Amino acid sequence: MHQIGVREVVEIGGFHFNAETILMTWITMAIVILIAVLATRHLKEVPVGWQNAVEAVVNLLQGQMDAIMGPEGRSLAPLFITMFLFLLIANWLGLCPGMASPTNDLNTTLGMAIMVSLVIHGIGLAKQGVSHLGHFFQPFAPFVFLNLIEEVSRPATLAFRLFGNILAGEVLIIILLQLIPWYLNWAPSCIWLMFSIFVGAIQAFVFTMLSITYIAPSVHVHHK
Amino acid sequence: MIDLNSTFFVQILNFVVLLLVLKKFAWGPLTKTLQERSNKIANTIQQADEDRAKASELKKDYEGQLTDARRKAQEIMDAATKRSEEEHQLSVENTRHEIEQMKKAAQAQIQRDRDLAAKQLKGEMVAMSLAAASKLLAKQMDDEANARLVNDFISELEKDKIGDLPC
Repeated sequence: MHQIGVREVVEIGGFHFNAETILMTWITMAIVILIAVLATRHLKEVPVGWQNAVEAVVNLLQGQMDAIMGPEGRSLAPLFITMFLFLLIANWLGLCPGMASPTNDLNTTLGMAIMVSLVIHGIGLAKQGVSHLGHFFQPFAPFVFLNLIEEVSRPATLAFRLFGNILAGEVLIIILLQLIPWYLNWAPSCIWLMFSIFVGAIQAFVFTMLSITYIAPSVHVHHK
Repeated sequence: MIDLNSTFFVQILNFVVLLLVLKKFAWGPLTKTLQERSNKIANTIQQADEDRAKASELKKDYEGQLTDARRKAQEIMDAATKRSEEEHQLSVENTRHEIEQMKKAAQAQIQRDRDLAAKQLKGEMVAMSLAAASKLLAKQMDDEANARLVNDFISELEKDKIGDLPC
């Protein structure tokens, strides 16, 4: 029986890896690349099929990015488009029988959240120089403690929100199936699966939007 | 359940690889296509605006030219009317002048003819007087009485008749 939360750990050279998570991540990557290839294989001025669908996603994200970051953030579009599609497919993958979401592993979600933090400070330092670090002391010096807490809480909340939502969804899928007699268990499962599809999309969007919001201050060059 | 291990780094690496692959092969061309499309739409809209502005300018131009042409035609017509009136006036004037000339010439001719007639009449009068005188001589009248009669006769004629001779 599938045991909830118990992962198969592979040890290679003293390093421990969650085999299932990595395998599912590669499947997710393959699906995302497949979608991207289908969408951009024959780029047309008048989009049809996959190109149309992916363009809708790209337009949605670019609209949000333009509103939050302005034209300076355009160069980051590939990051957020990839992030959204990757998280969307990752969240939905676990809804398929026999599959698991890469995002039901904290290693994945925290990894992406920390990566967002690195991008925030990398871009901040590149665009604003050392003065980027000045925002830790805004509006005045004692706020450095609050700002440091925020610095930790941002990736933590990003990671745990996604992880919790997806893991809970998958846990409930298993529990609902075992809680109710076999001749009735499909009913709540169907409803829960539909809700999980919705939650997966929402969580992918929330993660992406919050990342855009967190990165936005670093993108703007301060004029003082 | 919350077991962080080396998977953490693998996942970051996985995502970065995915990002680089997609950026190179998918998002680059796709965003380029999107940008080109929006540029094209913007250009088309701008072109349409420019064309419309040009068309309205042309229309205004043509309307101006039409008004100009109409005004010029009116001017030409006015000038032609004026000139024909002037010519008419001139020809009337000329005709009147010619008539005047002809009248004057006719009057002069009449005067000349009258003078000539008077002179001829006078000559005939003298001849008639002489004839009358010779008839009086035949009646043995003295010279003195003879001359007085003739002179009286002539002066009478001159005074009463010659001036009023019709032509």
